[in-house]
Order: sequence, then C-alpha cells, then structure tokens
Amino acid sequence: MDAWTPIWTTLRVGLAATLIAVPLGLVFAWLAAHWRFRFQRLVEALILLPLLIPGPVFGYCILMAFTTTGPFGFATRYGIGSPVLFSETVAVLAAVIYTAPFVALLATRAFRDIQPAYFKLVAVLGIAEWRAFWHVALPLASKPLTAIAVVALARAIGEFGILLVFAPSLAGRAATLPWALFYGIYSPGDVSKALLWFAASTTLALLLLAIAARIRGMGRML
Amino acid sequence: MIDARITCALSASVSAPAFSLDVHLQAAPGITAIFGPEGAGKTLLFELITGLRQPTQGRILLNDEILFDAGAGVNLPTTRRSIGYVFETNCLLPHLSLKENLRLAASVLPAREGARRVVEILERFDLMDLAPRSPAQLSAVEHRVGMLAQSLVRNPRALLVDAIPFGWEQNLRTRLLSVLREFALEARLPVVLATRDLNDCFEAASAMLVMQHGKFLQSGSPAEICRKPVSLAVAELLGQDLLIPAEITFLDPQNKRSRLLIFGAEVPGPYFSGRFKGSRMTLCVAPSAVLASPLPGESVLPGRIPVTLHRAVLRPHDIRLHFAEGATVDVPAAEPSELQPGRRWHLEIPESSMRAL
Repeated sequence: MDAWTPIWTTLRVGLAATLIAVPLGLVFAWLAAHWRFRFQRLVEALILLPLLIPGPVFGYCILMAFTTTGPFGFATRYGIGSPVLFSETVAVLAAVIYTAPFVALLATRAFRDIQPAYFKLVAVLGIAEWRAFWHVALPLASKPLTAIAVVALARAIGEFGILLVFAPSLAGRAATLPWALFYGIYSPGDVSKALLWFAASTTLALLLLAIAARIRGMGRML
Repeated sequence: MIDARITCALSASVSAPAFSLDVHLQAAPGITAIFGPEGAGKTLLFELITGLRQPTQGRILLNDEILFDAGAGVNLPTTRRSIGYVFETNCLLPHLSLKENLRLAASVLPAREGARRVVEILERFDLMDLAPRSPAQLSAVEHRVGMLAQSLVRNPRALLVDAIPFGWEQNLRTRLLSVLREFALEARLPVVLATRDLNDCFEAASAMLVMQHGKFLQSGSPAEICRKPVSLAVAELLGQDLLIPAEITFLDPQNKRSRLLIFGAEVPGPYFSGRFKGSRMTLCVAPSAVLASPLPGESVLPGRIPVTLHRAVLRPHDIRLHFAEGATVDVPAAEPSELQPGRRWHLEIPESSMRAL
C-alpha cells in the first residue's frame, strides 16, 4: 500500500462521519437541554454510552448483531451484511458512533449557555420548538458550535477502537490512518511509512485544534 | 378578557426564599395596571399567565377559552396561548435586525398578511428608520419600543407589559402609554401593565390592582384606590398620604365625636366606629389637607399639634417640611427664621380629612 492512500481515506471517512455526527449530536443536545420527558436520564445515559464503553466492545456488539444468528441477521440474507460491515461504511459508522455523543455532550453546554430569555421570548411569540432551535439556538451558539464541529472532525479521524474489531477483514479496503499505523507497525520494513503516518496524524490533529482555538468560544467550550 | 384565578407555591431555593402567590386577576379590554413593589410577584404572575411557569392550582381563561385548569388537567403550551409579553429586560434576538425580529414574530401569520403587518407596525411605532439596525445599535428606549412592536405584530389576544423602566423621561412614558391605550381600544385588547410608578396608573390605566407578597391588596380605579386606601399596607405602598399614629383618648358615640392623642397633643376627631378608648391606630390624611404654621411662642393653641422641624427642603413652587415626629408637609412659603432645624411648628388636621386604617 502506498503511503498516501490511508491519509486520503482517513480524511474522507472523517469528513463523512463529521457531517453525520454533528447534526445528530446537535439534535441530541437540543433534546437534552430543552425537553423534559420520561426516562430522560436513561436516554441520556444511552447516548453517552459510546464515550464510556471501550471501542472494541462496541464493535464486537455490532458485529454480533449482524451475524446470521444475531438480531440483524436477516440483513445478511438480503446482502446488507458483509458488504456493509467490511467496507468504508463501517469505518464511517464507527466514527459516527464515537463522535456524535462527544458533540452532544459539548453542544448541550453550548445551548445551556444561551440566555433563557431568548427562548422564553420565542415561545411567547408562538414559535414552535424546532423553529426555536433553528432561529435561536443555532445562531446564538454558532461560535462554540463551529469550534465543536472542528474538534469533532479531529476526533472522528482518530477513531479506531470500534474499527479494530472489523480491521482484520478490511484488508486495506478502508485503510484509515489508525488502521494503517496499527498494521504498519507489525510489518517489517514499513517503519518509514509508519513514521510518515504518525507525523501526518499529529499534524492534522494540531492543525484542527489550532483552527478551533482561533474561533472564539473555544475557551467556553472546554 | 383575562380571568385568572391561580395559586402558585414556590419552595425556598438557594437564590430565593419561599414565595406563595394567590390571586384572582380579571382584566377587561383596556389597560389594567398592577402596582406593586419589587418582589411582589408581578413577573411571576405574568409567567404563570403565559404558561412559562405552571401554577399549582387554579384556572386561567382568555375570552372564555381555557388556557389552564389544574383540576381538568388542561395546560395549553405557551406557544399556543397567543398572549403577548414584553419582558422587563431588553432581548430582541441579537443576530437579527429589528425588521427581521419583527418578521420572525410575524411568521406565525400567513405570509402576505405578516409582511403587511410588519410594515404597519413599523409605521405605527415610528420605527421605519431604525428597521435595518441590529439590536446592539438601538438605544435602550428604541429597543424597548421594538420589543413592544414585536409582541403586537402578530395580533395577540392579550398583552402583558412588565414595566416601563424607571429611567425614562416623562414625555416618553406618556407617549408610550398613549400608544398602548390606542391599541387596547382599537383591538379591544386586555393589556396588563406591571408598574412601580403610580403616575403610569393615573396616565393610562382604567383599572388598578395593588399587589404585595403575591396577593392583591386592593382593586379599583386608580383615583378610588388613592383616595381611599383600604389598609395601612396599601397606603404605605402608595406613599401618597400622611400616615400619623394616633391614640383614642375619648369617644362620644352620641355626638359622633372623639378626642385623639397625636404626637403628645389632644385634638378633636371624628367618631371611629368599631374602636375603643385607648386603641391605637394610624390616621391616613391627604397631605394637602394638613395646615402647618410656625408656632408664635411657646404656647400651643388648642386643637393644634406641636411638632419640631427637622429639615426644610426648598422646592420650585413650595417648601417641603420634614418634622422630627415623622410627618412631611408642604407649605407655600415661609420666613428663613422659621425654617431653622429645631423650630417649633404646629399642625392642624381637619377632622373631615382623617381616615383610620
């Protein structure tokens, strides 16, 4: 495998995952910040679970769910199983699971920091909850949310725990940087590639952090 | 017409002591003023009526539609109540211009009507020039008027206004109040104005409620309430009348007379039914009824109350005298020698102006 493929794959997977995880995380955050419903604590705990459970455990559960005897086993019969599980799609899925809760956690804080008076105002004006999300929450938290999105990208790129379970079967089809590093370490003669990838990973992460720091609101986010 | 009979009990928390509210508010089309000091519960009441908070018990009706009924389990969400509420703080959405703020408020109306309404309101409140500005570029007054415009844009069925801020000049207040009155008349809109300024009540309100500690102490027209405050608490809140402690020393039910001890002097007074000799009470007297004149010598004329001058404040059209005993009386003029602190004066209070609280 040449040195640059993993880097492009990583960026592709990371970007796709961020584009899915950020809206998902924002919706969760909005629900957590502004709605009261039964079993709310339970739902919140479920959403935060991926942050607390080791990645490989999660990945193993997903794998088992999709085997022929698992609850989603029927999917394999329709051809949804293997093509999905052992391709780039699973890398994106893994990154989304890893990143969305992270976004939800930080975005909840960002939404809670908005003065409640604005939400009271739009409620009294008769504007429905979802429109309040669009017209008030997103614009007023735009700076912290952009910083969160940038850091989410860094995180999506770094996902490997869940992917590790699927890694042996990927055989280079979804060779993200972490995957390539992991397998690179074990193949003799690839030290230079490994070093390149290490440098690329670190640079990418630092670059994204620097961008996030330039966007004002970073201090409040952390 | 708003008809809200509600109670709300708030338990003590880190930031506030326990508070209990128990009121029956009836607001007809026109302006109803709720007069009360800070902490009386005016804002809480407004939040309960608009649905931002839920009462513990009671019923809220708006034009015979039930907005809230604890017994029946009805609780219409805030977004459906169609009650305008102008907050005490200025909070137009900062990322939108004034016109966009109004457009957002009008978005609950059909598109063409909304656009027409926005223009109409901008003209009505004289905000056309300010329309493209963002809230940060508006002065406090303009911001406040903008908020009022925003709440009226979509034709609410009732309007709650949480105070016109203190700093405003009188002519601005008057102008704003007259615009409110016009709206209330045209649209047959019940408007409830929370205020700490008695002038607002006189200027604009047809009905007034005095509120303290979560309860209404008196209701009626502003003139009625000020002429006849129903209790000491109300008189103190209004701050219009002189409140003078007195003790009954003699009662004559047949001739309908009495004698009262005020600041150490015995003066004749009217008959107070339901009181006994020796009972203490507070007299509520209109300041304009009290006559004050400097004491010529040491002797006190019968029927007059001797007092000691503490401080005299020279004002454009009269002189305000503060007496050590706690009374404050205005006189048209006086000699400088009579205005020295410690000088003895005497007060004459006509029996007809004495009211007991």
